[in-house]
Amino acid sequence: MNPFAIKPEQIAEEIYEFNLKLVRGMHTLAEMGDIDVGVSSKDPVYAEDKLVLYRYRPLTPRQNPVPVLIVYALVNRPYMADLEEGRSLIQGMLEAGLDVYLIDWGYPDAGDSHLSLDDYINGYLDRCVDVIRQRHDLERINLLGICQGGTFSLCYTALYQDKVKNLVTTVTPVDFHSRDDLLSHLAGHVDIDLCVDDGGNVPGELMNWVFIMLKPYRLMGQKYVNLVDIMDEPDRLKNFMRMEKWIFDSPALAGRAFREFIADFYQANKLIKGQVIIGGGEVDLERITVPVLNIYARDDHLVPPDASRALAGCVGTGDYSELEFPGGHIGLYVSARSRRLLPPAIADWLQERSG
Amino acid sequence: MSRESNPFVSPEWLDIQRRYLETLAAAGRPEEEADAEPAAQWQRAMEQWWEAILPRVPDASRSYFDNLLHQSRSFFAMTEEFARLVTDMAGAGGNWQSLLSRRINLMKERLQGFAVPGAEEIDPSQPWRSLLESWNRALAVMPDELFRGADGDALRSITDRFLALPAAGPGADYLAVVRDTLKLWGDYQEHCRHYCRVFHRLGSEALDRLEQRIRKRGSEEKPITSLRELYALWIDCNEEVYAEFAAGEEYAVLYADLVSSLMAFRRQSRKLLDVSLRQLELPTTETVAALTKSQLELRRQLQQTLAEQRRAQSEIEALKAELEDLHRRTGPPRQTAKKKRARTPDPGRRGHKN
Repeated sequence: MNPFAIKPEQIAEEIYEFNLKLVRGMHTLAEMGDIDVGVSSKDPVYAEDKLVLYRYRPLTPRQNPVPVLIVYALVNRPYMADLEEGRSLIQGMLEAGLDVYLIDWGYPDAGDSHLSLDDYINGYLDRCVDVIRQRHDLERINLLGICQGGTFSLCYTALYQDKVKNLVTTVTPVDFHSRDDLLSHLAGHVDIDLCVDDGGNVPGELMNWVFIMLKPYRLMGQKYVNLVDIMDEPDRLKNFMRMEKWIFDSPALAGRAFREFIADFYQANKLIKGQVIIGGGEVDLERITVPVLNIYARDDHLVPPDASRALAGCVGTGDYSELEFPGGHIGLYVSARSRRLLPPAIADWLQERSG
Repeated sequence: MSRESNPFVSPEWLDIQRRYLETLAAAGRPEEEADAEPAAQWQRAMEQWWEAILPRVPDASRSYFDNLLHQSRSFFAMTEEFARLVTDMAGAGGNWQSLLSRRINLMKERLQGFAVPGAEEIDPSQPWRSLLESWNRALAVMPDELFRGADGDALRSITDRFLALPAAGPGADYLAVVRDTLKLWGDYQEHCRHYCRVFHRLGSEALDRLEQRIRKRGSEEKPITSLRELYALWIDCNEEVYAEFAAGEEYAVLYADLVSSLMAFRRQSRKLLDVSLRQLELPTTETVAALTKSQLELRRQLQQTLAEQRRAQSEIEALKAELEDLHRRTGPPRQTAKKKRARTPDPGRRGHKN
């Protein structure tokens, strides 16, 4: 049979409707004003260079006595974990009685181009952990790493076991050469020393392009055309715009740290081989004996499940758990489903191990 | 395609266009000229509307609008192609299969017509135009006008512009750096062209896949019921073809070459800048990099000193606490006892003194 059941007049009508929505929607967009992000109240408790350590204000009368520090990636901005009302991972964690801290790495500029992984992990991250330990008079605190921040948290825990009580990793790459890891495949041939010279940073826009090129037609062609369908729904449109703001709010990456991360992790896959050296310290994941909860996303196109699940065979802990989230890399933090599932799961897991 | 079969020139279309233009006029733009080419009217109407509304758009939101507009443009362009396809096939009866092949081949030919372009030559409605623009935005290291065009003439023009730069010291060193920069620029442009060629090839393969999918829908008796559905199917085909190609070695090399050649050019352009800065006795990018490096080293040392200070402070606190504890357990400090002894006259000493 003819594979089209579309009448010519229907075609014109369809285009007309599309245009009408587009024009009306453009007006809605133009009148929308500033897009607010970040719903939970927080206070800065420590600052150093461009880094700010925040503590979120509690939403429950009593909190878990061991605070949790969220370690975000250097790519994009951490407000993704607190993007909007009802879809915020952080809000959910606060409602579940957790005492939440978060590192905001800021926007590196030319003055930060020589920052190394040593500076980030043995320097900034360690000092943030110490600040929290001191504030709460605790030997150990909980860590929760997001994506590359999860990899940092793993390195940190391997190096500073005595300062970490429990470790939660979310969509965290561990095996950088797993099957279907397009990002790693594409990074494999890049001459990283040529790309990032001494004194240079990696522009955030370049990282945007890299991520878009993982699914270019869907992320450009389809997404914006589908947007027209919700343009007469201000709330949904605002949600979309918040996400757009986050996607394109990309700080530059400190050149040296980027070079080290690509060369050692993506290209040489040294983390699972126990060959990463940070500030002279050998990162041996087997040394991690604290409880580990590893959360990965089933449909993650940035960090495929296998890349995260490899952690199971690397850590030395006898208390290792995995949690599969039915969604994608970003959906883990911003979807309504995630909001329902994730914070209680994390809070319960930590509660059982915070005594 | 005959004018009769084109939905854009049907009486319904004229009515719809009138309604659309009225809507646009109401949005604050002048009416479209009545005799404009029908195929361009959607796009032109939108461009004019966009120009009218642009001043009211907040700066922070312009990139979203741009993306939306680019994609809508490519949607219109593809929709126009699909509309021709659907309209022709409506009257094809049992002959639809060969008509489908013919139409898809025509689309592929049109696609090839855009092949091997400089960035400017790509039809703005092409779906990958926005990808290339996004790439250009990401990697712009020099003023836009210097980047325009990638073919031989344009490259020569770039060469001329480079050589016409107001060099503070047009000596041999400077020219050598300029030549190196041009060479790297040429390398980068070659990789760009190659990248574009590959995307055109993939676009053609995606159309082949679209044809297969459409046939399948016919054989499964699950007809496509809207242009949006057809557009979504076409996007799926592009994404699949791209994903298969991207997973292979050829694309990884192509991608790496594109990124590396551009970054090499960026690097070289710093050297070019440094030559002029040196002539003007201004700090070069090299100098600034050295300064930031030493400043970072100072930051590290400061943090180390602070950490040592904190450690020392905490040791002092611990010792103090230990001492106080000791005092509690052993009575008054020995120091006090010494003082007491000192105050007590020593008969022997006194005697000796005397």
